[in-house]
Amino acid sequence: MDDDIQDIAVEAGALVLESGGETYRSEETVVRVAESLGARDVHSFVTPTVVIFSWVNDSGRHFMNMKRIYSRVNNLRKLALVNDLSRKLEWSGRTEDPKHLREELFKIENAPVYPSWFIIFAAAFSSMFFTFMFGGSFTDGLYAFCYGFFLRIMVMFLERTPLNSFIVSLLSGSLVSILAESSVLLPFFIHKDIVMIGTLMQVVPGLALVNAIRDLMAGDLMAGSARLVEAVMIAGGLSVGAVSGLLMTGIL
Amino acid sequence: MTSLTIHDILFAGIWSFGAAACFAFIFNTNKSDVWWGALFGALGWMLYVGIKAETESGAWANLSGAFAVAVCSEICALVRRRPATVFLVPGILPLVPGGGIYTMMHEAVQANLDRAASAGYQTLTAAGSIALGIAVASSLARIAVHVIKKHHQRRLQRAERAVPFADPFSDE
Repeated sequence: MDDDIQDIAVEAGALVLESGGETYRSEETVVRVAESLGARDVHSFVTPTVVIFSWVNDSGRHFMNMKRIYSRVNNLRKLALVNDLSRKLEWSGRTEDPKHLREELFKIENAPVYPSWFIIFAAAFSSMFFTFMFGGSFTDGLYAFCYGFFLRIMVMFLERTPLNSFIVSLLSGSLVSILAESSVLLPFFIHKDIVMIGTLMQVVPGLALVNAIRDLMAGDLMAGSARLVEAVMIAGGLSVGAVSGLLMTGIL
Repeated sequence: MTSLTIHDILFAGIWSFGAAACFAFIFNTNKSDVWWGALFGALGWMLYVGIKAETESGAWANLSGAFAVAVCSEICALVRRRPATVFLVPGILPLVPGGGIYTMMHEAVQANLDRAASAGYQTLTAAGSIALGIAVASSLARIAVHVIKKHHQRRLQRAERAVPFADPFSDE
């Protein structure tokens, strides 16, 4: 039973963090899951890279467990599912069935994701709409669609490698920039800057910014500032990458 | 003051709706949640476009857009029982100053340092006002949730003796 509490609570907290949840949500989830399984005096501490929690069992023994988080992906469906589970546990009080809870978590961890081709096309369409939003013409939209398509394929490939987010955004910025600069070879006229901005909108650090502010407002200053640095790093990588095409055409 | 027709605002709404919806799919959001996030994205961008044309103040436009998106997301999160992030991330995305950063670097590389600095300040102001909008809205939401929870607890305490033990998974 004690081992179950250790495993399940830390797993639930890690799941929230790994799918892009806020720090306080992760802490709350750990506490709720552990309490529903019968732990007493639960305390949890979560930063963007680690989940730690300590608790006391019925016979008064102290326990502590931690899990290091290596990769954080953005999966808002998993986040919503874990939140549902944690809500259910809060309203229903104590459950004596760790096996059931383990199954639920396993189900959430393997929740269905959209197929890759669908995500690639969604990204391409979002680039196109962003370009229209910033005042691009019809041709601009078509170019942004193609660039967004290639950009998402590259990002999906890079996310499977152990590269960090700075390098990924640097590479995506330079890919789009080089594509946009080389578009002068093609017969159609496009507004280069609008197309580039529209295409790059799908990799701007929106989630990192939102989470940073929400963490700071919840009082998790350490996690909030860490995420703010992450957002600045991604934005820096993008902007440096985005001028690389310009520099290259200057050299050539 | 630049002239802005209703037609412009309508199209701004349509494009930002599409952009936010497609972006929500990239983050693997549930189909039923996508529409709300996209709707708030369109609302925020329409407000931004309208206010920017009226007052010519980017900071004010960003602030009101972000605040509207954040408040709607928090309300929707309470009603639909989801984390507010699910609606807030796609909703806020059209406002994120991606263009400003690009302009800044672009001008800096071409040695137009004055223009680079001006674009940089504009970007910082925009990011700051978006942050302020989200921060105020989420603090308000925390207060509201606190009050609601207190109310619920008091009601539950009153009715506690009548409630039997409930199995958390019984509704499946």
